[in-house]
Amino acid sequence: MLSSFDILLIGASFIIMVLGFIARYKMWRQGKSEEGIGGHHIKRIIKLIEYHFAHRKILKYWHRGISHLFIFWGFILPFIAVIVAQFKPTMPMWAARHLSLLLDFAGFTAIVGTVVIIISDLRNSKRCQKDTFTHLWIFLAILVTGFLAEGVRLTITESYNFFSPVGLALSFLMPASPIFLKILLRIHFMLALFFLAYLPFSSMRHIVSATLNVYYQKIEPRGEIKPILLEGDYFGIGSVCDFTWKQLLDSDACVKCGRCDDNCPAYLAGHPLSPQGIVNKIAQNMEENHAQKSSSTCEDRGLYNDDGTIGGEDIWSCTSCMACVQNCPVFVEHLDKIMGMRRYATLTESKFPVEYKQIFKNLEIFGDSFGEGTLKREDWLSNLKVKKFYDKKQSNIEWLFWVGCAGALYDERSKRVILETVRVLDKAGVDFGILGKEELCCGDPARRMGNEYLFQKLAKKNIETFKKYGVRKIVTNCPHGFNIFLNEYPQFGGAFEVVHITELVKSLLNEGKLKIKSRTDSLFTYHDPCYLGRYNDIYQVPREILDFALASEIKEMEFSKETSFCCGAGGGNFWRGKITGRRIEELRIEQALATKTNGVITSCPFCEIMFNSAVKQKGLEYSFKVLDIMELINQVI
Amino acid sequence: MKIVVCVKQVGYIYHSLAIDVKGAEIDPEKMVFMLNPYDEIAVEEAIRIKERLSNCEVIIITTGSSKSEEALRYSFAFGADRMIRIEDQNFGCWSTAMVLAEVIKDLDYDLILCGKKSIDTNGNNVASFLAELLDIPQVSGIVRLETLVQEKKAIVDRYLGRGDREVVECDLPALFTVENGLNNPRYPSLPHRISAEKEKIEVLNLRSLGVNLDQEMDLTEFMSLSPPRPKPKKRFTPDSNLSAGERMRLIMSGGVSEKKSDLLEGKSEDIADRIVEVLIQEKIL
Repeated sequence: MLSSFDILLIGASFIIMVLGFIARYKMWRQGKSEEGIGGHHIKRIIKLIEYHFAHRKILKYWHRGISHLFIFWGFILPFIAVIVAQFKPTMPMWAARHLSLLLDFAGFTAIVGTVVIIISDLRNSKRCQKDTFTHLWIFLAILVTGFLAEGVRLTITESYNFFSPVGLALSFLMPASPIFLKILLRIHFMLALFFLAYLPFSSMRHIVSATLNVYYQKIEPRGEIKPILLEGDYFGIGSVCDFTWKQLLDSDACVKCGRCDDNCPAYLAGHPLSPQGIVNKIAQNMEENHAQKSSSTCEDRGLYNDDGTIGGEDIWSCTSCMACVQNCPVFVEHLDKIMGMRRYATLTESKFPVEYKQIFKNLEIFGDSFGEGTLKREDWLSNLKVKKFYDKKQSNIEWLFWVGCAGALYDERSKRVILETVRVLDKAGVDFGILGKEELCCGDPARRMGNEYLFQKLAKKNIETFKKYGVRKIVTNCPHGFNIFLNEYPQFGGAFEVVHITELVKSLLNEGKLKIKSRTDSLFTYHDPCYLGRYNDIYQVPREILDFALASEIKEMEFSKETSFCCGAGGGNFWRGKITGRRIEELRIEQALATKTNGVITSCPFCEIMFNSAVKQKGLEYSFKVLDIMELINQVI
Repeated sequence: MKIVVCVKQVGYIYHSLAIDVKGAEIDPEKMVFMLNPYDEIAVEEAIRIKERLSNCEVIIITTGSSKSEEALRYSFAFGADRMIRIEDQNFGCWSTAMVLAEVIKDLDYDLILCGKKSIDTNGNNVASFLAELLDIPQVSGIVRLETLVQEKKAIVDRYLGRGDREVVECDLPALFTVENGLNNPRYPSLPHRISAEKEKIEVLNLRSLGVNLDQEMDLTEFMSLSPPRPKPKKRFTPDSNLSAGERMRLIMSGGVSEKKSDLLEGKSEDIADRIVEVLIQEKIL
């Protein structure tokens, strides 16, 4: 029974915990307000059950995942049971017995889970986080003393309670000493109070912050970047206070599990980027800023500076592939922070990799990143007859086929892919047209390089063109254009029906408008482009097409689908020359070679360009094919 | 210090050009316009001087239609203080220099910077005419600029080709035309771009300047236009003394052979002797 002193202790530890979390809350509130985060409560609760209580993402790393699941329920269930028990509720015998069995099971599995995590932390020094580690040991001690106390109690009462199997087993080893029981209970009690009071002061605070973060996860399309108003003299994220409170909560929810780093292509290739490092540095910056702050205003703009916490090279190494966001079990959004910091660097400070200046000027002057100009956008057609939207004789064309800069301008190979796509569409009798010289860059490179100004300029011009010619449906060959039309143009009043070419071809195959004549015998592997897969969850559609076209099933690479590896071109890295570390496309090609297939199929012109260069670099251009999915389809129909 | 920079918006002609509906002229709708790259270097240099000195004003001036305000505002976003546009009425080189001189002479300037040439007409005339009309010294094609404010002097490096430089000391006020390599122009940040969009442009025309171009005959005349004489293509003939494999390699690589060089090592006296030997061998001594 609790004495009044005990209640005082409980109160004290509870107050310390609450004060600690209030301090954290104040740190989060340093950030700006987050628009559009309210509402969707039912959807959010379902997500909370799915990802929080059922551990859907955490379980992807199975042994740590299951251990965490055990610890999670081994913490929650006994915790609730102990609190409820203080009020001496009455319940039928069978219910109490089953509850006792459940609690024993939860406690025992939690011990197993804790031991597994402690061992795996000890074996992997990189993952060993001091502050969580202490907590793990305390938690283990709480569980063990709890069971020991139960064992002693059972020895004293000499009751053979089979519904507390662990306690019963221990009772054979324990002395029947009431003083020993009392000591054990005291230790158990004190440790539990210390555990609670210490929660907000270590990474264990993720018990609260990660729960909140899972609840407030992004409901909008994952690939969307929010627009900023282009007014005033300050843009993007240059200091802690420019983050929204949700983004700061993000950084506090991180428990340093390292899954983002494990899946980050830039990190694995040895580039100076660690997504976890960025999030942790933001959290550190947030704490320091909170400690220094005397007034409520945020004066220091210290996040992005030469000697500051987050330098230049790391944010520019990001390929915006979203592997970190996809693999984060607590829904930390690394990417919008990186993009925000890039916006600050590009727009406010005008500091960016040297190569980008020419790209920005090309985009502004010529309307494409290669500096070729709109008039060259029809060169790939040569003698081919394709309807054009600006042609006044044509009206009511159903589909706009968006060719894109890579397809229209980059090199002969990319142009050939576009030609083959056109042939496929022609064979299927699709009513489509192109914009030709009225087309501009879709704005994706500009936006991902942080130049929101250029992006908005290009996007508004394109939307104007679409509306001028009455475009309703858009089909793109490039996943970057697909993502930006689908998710980001609606921000500027340009909502159209957008599909990727693979989706259209799949429906054409299903309807029988395209018929496969002969399947290809070669063995292939498939590379998921980031902007199609992770950004828009299109994994199955290209695989279904490949089922039609290939005689044998595709062999998956080690990193595929959600964990697909970037080709290294995204986020403006396509235009970067000098990089530290290995080239990402070479790593990816090595993964593709490891499948022992005849080639790799992709559905993104940028991936194709990158892989082609990597294959040539390795001298394998005659033995290992890099194909666009449309080239394959054109071969087999 | 007051710096005047003359800029021009050029149509990018090294590019696919569209013919207009009549098929007679280049379609201006499809023309790509930009700030003349040499002028961009001049603006950048003026802004760099401004950033070094405490009291400095940069004035950007152009002649052209309202379309050319785009380039004017772009160059203003580098960090200039004033911009002036003179309404264009199909000026030739001389008349452009005339109206520019008419405006600039009242500006109490210390330094005028211009691009080496505009990349559309490649005339390379206006700057020289302007210097003549203002009666100030001109140095063309500078690749380094050092201003001595107290002495009212500037020391410039003039580009002579093949890595040669001529160091010139010049009294201010003066006019310099800038060459590639003087600096690497910045990409103006968005706050500057936005303030440049809002900034007022002083628009002048011939009437407000009181210049009557009918009287002032344009002294330059456009005579004829001809394509450049094609450069003779150098045929590569490999040295017959080389081995067959080496010759093949040279032909495949387009005849670019590595320069023959030797690194001499050892004591300095020995090296000196060897150098003399080599010079005698090469019939230099």
